[in-house]
Amino acid sequence: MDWQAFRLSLFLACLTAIILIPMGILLAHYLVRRSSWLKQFLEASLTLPLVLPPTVLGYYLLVGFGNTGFLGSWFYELTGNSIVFSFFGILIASLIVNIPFAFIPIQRAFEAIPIELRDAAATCGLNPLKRLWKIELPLAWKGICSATVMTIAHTIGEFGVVLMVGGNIPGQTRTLSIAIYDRVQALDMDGAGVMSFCLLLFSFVTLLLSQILNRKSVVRGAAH
Amino acid sequence: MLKAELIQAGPIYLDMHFECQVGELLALVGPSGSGKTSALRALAGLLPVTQGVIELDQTVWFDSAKNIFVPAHDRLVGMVFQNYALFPHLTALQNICLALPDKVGQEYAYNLMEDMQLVDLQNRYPSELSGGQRQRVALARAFARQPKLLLLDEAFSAVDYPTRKTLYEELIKLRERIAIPIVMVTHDLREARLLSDRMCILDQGQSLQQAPAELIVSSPRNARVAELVGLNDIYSGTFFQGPIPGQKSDPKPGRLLWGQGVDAHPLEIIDKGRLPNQTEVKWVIAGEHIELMREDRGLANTIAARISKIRQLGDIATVQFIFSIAHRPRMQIDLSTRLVNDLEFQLHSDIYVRLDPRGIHIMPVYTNPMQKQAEKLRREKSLNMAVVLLVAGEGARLGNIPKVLLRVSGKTLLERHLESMSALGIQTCVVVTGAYQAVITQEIQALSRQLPKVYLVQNIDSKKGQASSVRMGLEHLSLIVPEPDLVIMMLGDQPLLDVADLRQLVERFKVRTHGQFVFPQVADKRGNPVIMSGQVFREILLQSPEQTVRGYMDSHPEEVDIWQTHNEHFIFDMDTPEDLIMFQKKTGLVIELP
Repeated sequence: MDWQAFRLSLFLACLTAIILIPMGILLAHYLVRRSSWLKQFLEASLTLPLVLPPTVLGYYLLVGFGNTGFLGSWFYELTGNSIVFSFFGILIASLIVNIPFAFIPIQRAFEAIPIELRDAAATCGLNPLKRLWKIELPLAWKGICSATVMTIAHTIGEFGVVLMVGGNIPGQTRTLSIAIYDRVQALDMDGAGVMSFCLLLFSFVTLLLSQILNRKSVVRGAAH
Repeated sequence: MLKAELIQAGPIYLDMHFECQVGELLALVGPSGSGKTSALRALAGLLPVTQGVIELDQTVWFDSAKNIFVPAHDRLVGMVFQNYALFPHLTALQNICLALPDKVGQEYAYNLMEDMQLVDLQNRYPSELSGGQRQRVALARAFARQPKLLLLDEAFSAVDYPTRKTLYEELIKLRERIAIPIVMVTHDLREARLLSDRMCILDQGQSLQQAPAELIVSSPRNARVAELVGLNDIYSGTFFQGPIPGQKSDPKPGRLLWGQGVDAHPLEIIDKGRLPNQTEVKWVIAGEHIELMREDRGLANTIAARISKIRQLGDIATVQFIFSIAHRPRMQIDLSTRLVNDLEFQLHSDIYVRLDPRGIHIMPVYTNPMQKQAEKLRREKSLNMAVVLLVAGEGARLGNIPKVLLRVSGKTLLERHLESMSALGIQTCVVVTGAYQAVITQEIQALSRQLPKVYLVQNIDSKKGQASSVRMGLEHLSLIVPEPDLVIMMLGDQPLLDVADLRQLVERFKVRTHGQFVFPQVADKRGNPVIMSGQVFREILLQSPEQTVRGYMDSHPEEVDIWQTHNEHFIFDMDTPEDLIMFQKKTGLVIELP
C-alpha cells in the first residue's frame, strides 16, 4: 500500500473540493435567475470537461501550462518553477476537470428552489447575502453535498489528465490511481490489488454517505 | 396612502394606476394574464418596472423619473403567496421569526402566534401542517415584519372553502389591529366583493375601473368591465342625444337604439352627458329597474315579451323572456316565487316588460384586439367606388364664375379633386355641370394625366337646386357603373378637401357599424361629401324621380351614420369673397380667378 500516494490523493481531492465548491455556489447563485446568452455560453463551457476525452484535455493543459506555453512561461518567469510535472500542475488540472461535477449539482439545486421562496425571503426583509445564507444554502444543501462527494470521488479516481500533466513523481504527482497503474506496470499485482480495493471501498462509502445525507434533506424538504 | 403608477411596454405590458388608503383593502381583480400578480410583485419590489411611481405615505419606493428603486428587502412589505411560500427547512416559529425586524424581540412572534392559534404548531415544519395552517403561518409571517403595506397574492385560493372562510375572518380580525393599506390580488369576484373596500378591475395589463364593488357592478365603465364582473345580460345598441321624436322625457333625455340597423328598437334613457351623439354602446340594466306586468300601462320603454323559461329555486324564481321586437333579444331576472305565482306567470305567457330609463346603464364599446383586427380587415377591403362631382353652382356671389376652375398654386380645384380620386383608386367620376359646361369640358380635355374616367352631364335647369343635380348624376352613374359598392357625392368648391380627408371618410364608411350613409359633421354643421352604399344607390333610383338623396336620408335616420369630426376641411367651401380671403389666410396659398 502506497500511503504516500493515498495521502496525496486525499489532499488533492479535498483541496479541489474546498476551492471549487464555494466557486460553484457563487456561480450557480449568480446564474440561477438569469436567462441570457451569457448563461447559455457559460453553462456550455462549464460542462465541456465532462464530454471531452481526458487525453484531449491533458494535451491542451500540457500545451498551455508547459514551459513554452503562454501561461506556463509566464508562471516560470514569475516563480522560477514550472506548472507541469508539479503538484500545483495537477491541482490546476483537477480543478478544471472537476468543474462540471462541482457546478452542475449545485446549479440544479439552486434552480429547484421555487421563485416564490426567494420572493418570500426578500419580502421578509432578508438582503441578498442573508437570503443566500439562511434560505438558499440550506435548501440547496443536498446539491452541495453531492457536488462535494462527486468532486472528491472523481479527483481520487482521475487518471488520464493527471498522468499527462503531472507524470509520476512520488510525493508530488503520484496519486493513488497512478500508483496502481505503476504497480501493474511493475507486475506487482498484489500491491495494485490492495490499493484498488481501498479505492473501491472509499468510493462506495462516500457514495453511501452522500445518499444518507440526501435522504435526510429529502424528508425535510417534502413540503415542496 | 399607497399610490402606484406602473407603465411598461414589455415583456409584460402594464398601464395601471391605483391608490389604496390606510386601512383600506383594495382588490385587484382580473382574468389570468391581466397583470395583477405582476402589479403586486412590482409593489413589493420583486419586479422592476420601466416607468412609474410607487409611493407610500411620504416614502418613495420607486420613481423612474428620479431613478429611485428601493429593493424588496428594504420596503416594509408583508406578502402572502398563493402557495404559502413557507421555508420548508424552518419550523413555523422560525418562519415567523425570520421576518421580525431587527429591533423586535421574539415575544412579538409569540403574541402573533397566540392570536392566530398557532402556538401548538410552533415547532412543526411546514410539511407537517395542513393547508389552512400553513396559510395562517404565512399570514402571521407577513404581519411579523410589521409592514407598512400588506400584499395578498391569491392568498386564499389554494385552500378549501371552509378553511377559506376561517382565513377571511382571521384577516378581518388582523385588519382591525393594524391600519395599513392592503392590496389583494384575486380572480374570485365573490372574494373581492366580500373582503374589499374597493376593487380595481384589470385587463391585459390595464386598470379599467376603480371603485367600490357595488358601484362597479351597477355601473361598469365599459362593456369589458361588465363582462369581467360577471354581468350576464349585456346588450348592444347606439346612443343618441336628445329625446325620441314626438316623445317628452326628463330630466336630460337621450335615446338608445337597441340592436343594429333596421331591426333596432328605440329606448328612452337618461343622458348623463358623458358620451357623444351616435356612440356605439353596450348596455346593462339592474334587476330592480326591470318591471314585469300583465298589461301595458302605457309607460315609457314598455315592450311586449314572452316567457321562455321559468326556474324555481325555493323562494327565488329565475324568469327568462324573449322580447317581441325584431331582433328578439332575451333577458332574465330573479323574482320572488310568490310574485311569479301572484302574476300567474307561466311558460309561454305573454307579458309586458318595462325597462326603467333610470336603470339603463350605457357604456362605450371596449375595442379588444379581436375587434381591432376585424376592423382592420374591413378598412383594408377594396371597394368599387364611384363619384358624383357637383359643379353646377354658378358662383353668383363671387361674380359669376365657375368655382371649380379657381386655381390654387397653379392647379384648378377640379384637377385637384380628380387627382385625389385617382390616388384613392376611384375609376369613375360623373361631373354634373350647369351653365359652365363648355369651359369645364375644355379644362377636362386639357388635363392630360392619368385621372379617373370623367363623364359630363349638364343640368340645364340649375334653378331646381342641388338635389336635382345629385339625382341626375346618380341616374347617369347607374348607366356606367350599375353596381358600385359605394358612391361619393362631392361638391366642387371644397378647396381644402384632399386625398387624406377623402380616405378618412371612406374608411369611416368601411368600419361603420350601422347605416347606409356616412357624412361628416363638424360641431353641429353638416359637412360634405356624403357617402352612400351601392344598396341605397340602387334603391333610390328605383323610387320616383322626385326622391332626393337628402329626402331619403331624412326619412331613414337609422341609416345615417353621422361622423363627428373636428376636421374643418369637410365644411369649408367657397361661396363668398370672404371665403377666398379666409382660405388664403389659412393656407398661405394664392387663388387665381378663372
